[in-house]
Amino acid sequence: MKKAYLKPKRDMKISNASSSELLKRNNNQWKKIVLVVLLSITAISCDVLEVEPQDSIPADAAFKTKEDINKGILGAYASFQSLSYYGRTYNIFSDLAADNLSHPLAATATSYAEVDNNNILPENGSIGGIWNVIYDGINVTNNIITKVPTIEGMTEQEKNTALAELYFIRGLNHFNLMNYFGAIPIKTDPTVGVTNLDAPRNSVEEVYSQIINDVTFAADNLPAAGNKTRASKFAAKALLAKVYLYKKDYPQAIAFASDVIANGNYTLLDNYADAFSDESAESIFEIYFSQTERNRIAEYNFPHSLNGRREVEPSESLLDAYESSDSRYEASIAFEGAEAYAKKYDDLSLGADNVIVLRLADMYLIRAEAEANLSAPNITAIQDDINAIRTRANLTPTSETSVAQLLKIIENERRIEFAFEGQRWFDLVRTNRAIAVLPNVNSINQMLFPIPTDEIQTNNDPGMTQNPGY
Amino acid sequence: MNKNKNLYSFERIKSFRSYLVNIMRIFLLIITIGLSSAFANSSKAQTKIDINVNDISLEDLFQEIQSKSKFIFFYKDDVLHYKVSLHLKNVTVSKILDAAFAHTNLTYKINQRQVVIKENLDAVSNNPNVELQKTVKGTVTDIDGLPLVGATVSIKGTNNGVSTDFDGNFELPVTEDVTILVITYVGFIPQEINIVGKTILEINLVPDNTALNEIVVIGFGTEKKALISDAVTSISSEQIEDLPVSSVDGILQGQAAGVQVQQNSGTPGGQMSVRIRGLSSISGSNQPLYIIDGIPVTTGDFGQVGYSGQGASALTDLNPSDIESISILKDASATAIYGARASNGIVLITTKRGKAQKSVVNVNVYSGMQRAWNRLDMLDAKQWMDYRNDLTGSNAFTQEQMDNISIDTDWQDVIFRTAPINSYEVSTTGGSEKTKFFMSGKVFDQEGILIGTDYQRINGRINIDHQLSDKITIGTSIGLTYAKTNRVESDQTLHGPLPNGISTPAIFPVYNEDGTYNQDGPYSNALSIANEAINQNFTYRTNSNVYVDYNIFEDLTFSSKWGIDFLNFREHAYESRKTVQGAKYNGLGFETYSNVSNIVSNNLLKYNKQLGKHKFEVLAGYSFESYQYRSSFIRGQDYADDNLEYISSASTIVSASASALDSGLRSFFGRANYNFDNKYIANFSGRFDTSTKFGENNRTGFFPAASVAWRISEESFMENVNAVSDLKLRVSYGLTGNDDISPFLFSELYGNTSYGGQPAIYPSNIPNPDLKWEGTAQFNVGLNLGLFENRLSLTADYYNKQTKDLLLSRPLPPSSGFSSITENVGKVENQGIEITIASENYKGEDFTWNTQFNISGNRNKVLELYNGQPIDDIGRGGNRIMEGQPIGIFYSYKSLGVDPSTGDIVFADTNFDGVITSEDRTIVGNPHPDFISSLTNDFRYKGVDLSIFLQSSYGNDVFNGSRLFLESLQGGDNQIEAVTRRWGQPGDITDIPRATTDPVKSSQNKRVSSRFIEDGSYLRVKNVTLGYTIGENAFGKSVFSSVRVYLSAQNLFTFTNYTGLDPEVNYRGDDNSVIGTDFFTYPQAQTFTLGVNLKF
Repeated sequence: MKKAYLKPKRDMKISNASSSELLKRNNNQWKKIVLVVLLSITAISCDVLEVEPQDSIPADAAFKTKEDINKGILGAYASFQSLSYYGRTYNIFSDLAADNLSHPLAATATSYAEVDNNNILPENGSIGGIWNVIYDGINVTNNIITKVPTIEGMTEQEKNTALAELYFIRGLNHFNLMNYFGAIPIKTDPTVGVTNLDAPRNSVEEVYSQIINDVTFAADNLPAAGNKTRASKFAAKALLAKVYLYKKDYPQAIAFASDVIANGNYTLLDNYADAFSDESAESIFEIYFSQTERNRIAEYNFPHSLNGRREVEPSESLLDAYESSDSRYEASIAFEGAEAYAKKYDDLSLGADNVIVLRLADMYLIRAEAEANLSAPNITAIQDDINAIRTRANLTPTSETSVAQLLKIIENERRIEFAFEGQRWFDLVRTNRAIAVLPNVNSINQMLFPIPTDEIQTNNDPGMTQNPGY
Repeated sequence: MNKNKNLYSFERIKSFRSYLVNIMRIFLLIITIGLSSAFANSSKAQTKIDINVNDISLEDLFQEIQSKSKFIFFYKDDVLHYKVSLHLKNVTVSKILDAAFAHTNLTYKINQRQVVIKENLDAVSNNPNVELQKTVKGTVTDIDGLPLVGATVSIKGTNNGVSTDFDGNFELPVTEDVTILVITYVGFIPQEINIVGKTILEINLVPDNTALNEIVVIGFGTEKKALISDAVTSISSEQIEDLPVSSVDGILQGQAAGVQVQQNSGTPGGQMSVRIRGLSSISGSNQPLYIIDGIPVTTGDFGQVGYSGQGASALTDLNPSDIESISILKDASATAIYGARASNGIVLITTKRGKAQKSVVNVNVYSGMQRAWNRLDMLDAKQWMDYRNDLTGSNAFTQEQMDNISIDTDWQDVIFRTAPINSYEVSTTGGSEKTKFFMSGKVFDQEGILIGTDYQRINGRINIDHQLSDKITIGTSIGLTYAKTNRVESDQTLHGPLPNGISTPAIFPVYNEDGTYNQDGPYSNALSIANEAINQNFTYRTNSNVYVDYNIFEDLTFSSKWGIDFLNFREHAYESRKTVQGAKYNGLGFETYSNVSNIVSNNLLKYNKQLGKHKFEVLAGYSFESYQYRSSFIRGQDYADDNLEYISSASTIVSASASALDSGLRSFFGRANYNFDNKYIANFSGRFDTSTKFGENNRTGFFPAASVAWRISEESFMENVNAVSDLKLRVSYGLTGNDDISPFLFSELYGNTSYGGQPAIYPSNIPNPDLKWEGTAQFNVGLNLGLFENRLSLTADYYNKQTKDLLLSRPLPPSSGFSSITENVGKVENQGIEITIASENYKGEDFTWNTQFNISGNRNKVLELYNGQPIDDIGRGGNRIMEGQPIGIFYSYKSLGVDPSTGDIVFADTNFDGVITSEDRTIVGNPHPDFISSLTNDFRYKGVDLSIFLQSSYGNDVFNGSRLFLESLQGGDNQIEAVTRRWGQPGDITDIPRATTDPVKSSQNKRVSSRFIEDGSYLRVKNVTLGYTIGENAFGKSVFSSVRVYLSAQNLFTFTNYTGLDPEVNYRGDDNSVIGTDFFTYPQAQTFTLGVNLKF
């Protein structure tokens, strides 16, 4: 705008000089005005093409310092908060596809009904949402990973710590995808252009190997202490314990679970319900939610009369599965009239309660299950781990010695201990128990969710195939 | 009469003839003139004769000519003292006279059969004794008797004349030989008056309504309709004056061939979709560019609280009564001067301006009622209980309950209402030669037919033009608007009064016994949302400009116009604890502001030159625009009290944000128009646009166009074809663009978010430095035909629009981390035919009957997409974009009906693989109409006028998405009455499947399929207006110059087979690909209004 004021002034003198000679007197002032208009046109118009984005940062300015990398890492965490992810759907679907939650007759979300019935269409929008948001998280992570080496002023150790945190996020994302969809494309490069976006599905073995590489690096390079809403050394180890259990590498699962139990400085809280307050001593890793990045878990669980949407309700069989004195019953389930509803995440109004990804109880049950699957299991060790959980829940310790029975007990304990925490479906699928336990699952094909239609249609790699049965 | 002496000399009359003869001769003269004009034939002057005379007087020469032809001579005696000798063969009279007068000071004028002989004026002026003068006085008015200020009264064939004064009076001294005066006034038919024997004249000028002389507004100028070589449709204020429609886009409906206007929903003040010549863009906008008085208008929905699909429309802010004319520019030649924004057509709106005339005050008031024209037949309480028992296979409701029904709520009674609509408007216009003004004010107040909705608007306008000097004119247009809309939550969600009301079964009461809202139904109580949720938005707007026109020298004009469109859009929303949403959050409130300003500068140099029959018009322009958008958004909850609805009472702010967006456009443009003898016309135009929306590699685009027209009716060989009064062929071709995308899509950016209370960033888009405009090449060939002095006129156009480099939001494999990228890929074709017929069926003294009809058909086809990949499963109805098909065809399972043995829907196994999978989906419907048309009949008998306006759409399919829920036969939703004919037992043949709780079968039965596709064709009696004008005689001139009362009915009848609430639906009007889907769409109102129009 400076130009707009300066330029006409300078040129006015010239027009004055010439106009006095050439122009008739009465027209003089109007002609001056026209000239001023003309000149201001040229002056002001120079600026109209000089605009900058106001809400976004140009890429070349985004990453310059260590703080910028930290912002990028937080950006990678932010995708965990999506409603399709830990914000709601990812966890709910694991209980809904299994037998912990069901879709009430009066509820309206068709995509939830499909999951409840284990009769899912590839175009199911909620399933597509899970796929999309996890890959979004992976891409953000890969993007920041490539930026870390370019930052001057970060020590090698700082860089490794940053990378370790990013690798943890990438590993967890791949693991979460694989648990619903099976073989998936591994993504380790950021998307910067539109070429080479077609990707084949990698084998389950390859995905495991990628996850283990990433998370092992994280476990080796992350600091032990820290905020529970961000990855730590023991969060990585706890995740490794779980990954090895799912991979059926039992010795490794035992080793990592034991490491976390022994050295992680976490405690099983006496009161089970306390485990669900934010950053409890039992929690190993959880996703941050606040009033601004709210989760909608309570909204979908709560009955209408409490202003919820009630797209899901605890199943009859889950209610029956609790033993009578189980303290977890009251901590997990509430009633409004005759309607039961899940209440582990009960901040309906703000949705600000953090969502737990890994907690200590899981480590005990992972170790117990892994031990029970060894060729020569230590029965006492299994009992001890189970009883650590049972005792805390106010239940009598088990003295069962049959490995097969112990595995049943572990399965049931996991169902109740982690009810509404998004574990049940994965437990039944990885142990091949889904067909036996779930009335709607009759075929092995149903144990994997369909690859979303969008991916099938846009990904032209011949290796991008639909799961059988869809 | 003395046959031989059939020569008339004024001098003689005066000198020796009796008064009787005198009068007879004047009588004869008048008759003669009358006859001569009656047999007017331009070939008369070409009559050729032989002359062979020696030294005779002029008088004798005239007699000689008269004996050999039918000419009659008028002269003064004293001119006859010349003697001539002529020997000429086969020459015209003018040749004879040229020769005869060669050495005299005489001139002549041939008018039809009359030859008037005069002395040369210059010669006369040297001889004051010869000059004889009289003074003619008079008044010039229009046909209503209103004086016309500044009308020109001149002596025919000269430049001598005067202008009328403020009361339309004039005084003109004329010489005795002057017989004819010409009176001209812009917008009126020029009139010639014979003044022989008259000194006082009363002249009534007739408005020039003849279509060919109509002046049509085109891009950066005007042109006579007859001389236009482009495809332009013009709508005048008369055509739209009685429509009780609140917005500009609303009045476009049915007015122009090739323009499809769809009310997305009946929300008062809501957005409409306007499509000129089809959909050419998939991801960019398809709305035309609106330009008011030369300044582009900001359009679109700036709402931030979710109302998508029935959004606010920035267009609604203009008062339709302020419009003088609307021009719709359709082909490339007409639009290319708007360059990168022209692909979707241009709507040029011109507001009324003052005239140099006595001031006129115009008052228009109307008031009326609206109601829903249609309702759905829903299950009543007993039918509902019966259905639920059938569904659950139990006796959830006992026979006793079913026999003693106490609650049977008709929820449509609860949500619909009869709603008032009122409009009060005053305008005044007038001015002097130097300063002219138009001012208007309007209050418009409309309640919605759906509870909780209403719209109020106050408009003001001042348009002033002032002549500063001979060469400089300045002026301004200032439009001001305040509007307030009460809305209810969107059609699309299941949280609005309309979907909730219709979907709640009749067994639920509106209120509990304690007076609180009953919330036991499957959805929030509809009334509670409407009454207890506040959803208001407010518009504060000015759309104004100033200009200066500088006539540098006679043919060269410079003009500069600066405009600002400033819009402040504020939303205020609050849901109290009495609603489900509000209770969830202990009161939930929103406060948003959007501040949009667009500053425009248009600078033009215009040069006009006529050289004989060659006419040139050249225009060069330079323009720039600077657009700024600023917005803020606050969401709060946990309110201290339900009566405190503003954010300051919210104890928790859950979201607060502000954002900004800038863009700029700089353009050079020009046009050259060449016209030979009004017969051959050629037009070239072009524009360079540099836009900040485009990538670094393609910042500037060039958009050229050309058209030619041939006015065949002006050719001499057409002279004898009397029936054809106008015949013109037009051809045009040109390139235009579409730049309607968000800025900065080309650049690599990081967006911001937060995690753990700390700032976070993430890559927000994939950069595309090659991003550019979407290009459309359009070919147009058109024909204008006028028959019987244009009493029957036809305009026909064929066009072919090829759009390439689509601004396509191309889906990416989601595994890339992005769902799409905006790229220039793909091609779309639109071709179609437009026909407009206007006919003056009957034109009598007392009775006139005019008909206007237009029909158009557009064929849309996607020619190319990225890698041939279809864009699939869009919206609720399974719209799809695929090559070889129109945009947004319905692509889903084909329902073969209900299997009589199982009661379940059978789907077509289109690939014969034995199972029904997504591979079996196929094309099941087309949302695009085959034809749209409208028909208007205007009748006028004395003071009574009647107008009947029909509008129709033929051949479009609608996906009735409401039936997905209302015929779901599962869940808690109320059902339409049709489900009472559901399948009950084996052998039943019906179209409605069984009610079953079988999870697989029930969800398959209601899957999106051809079962829910319906024919959306309709014929609507859109408007009927009956008016009566009481002339000035009734009141005397002192009070009103005219009073008109009228009765108007909007949407009087609708004929359709569509089973939903309204066939005119588009539940996501903001989306190009989700078209033709009804999802609890707010239906249109049937409106009856009574109005009065006073002029004084």
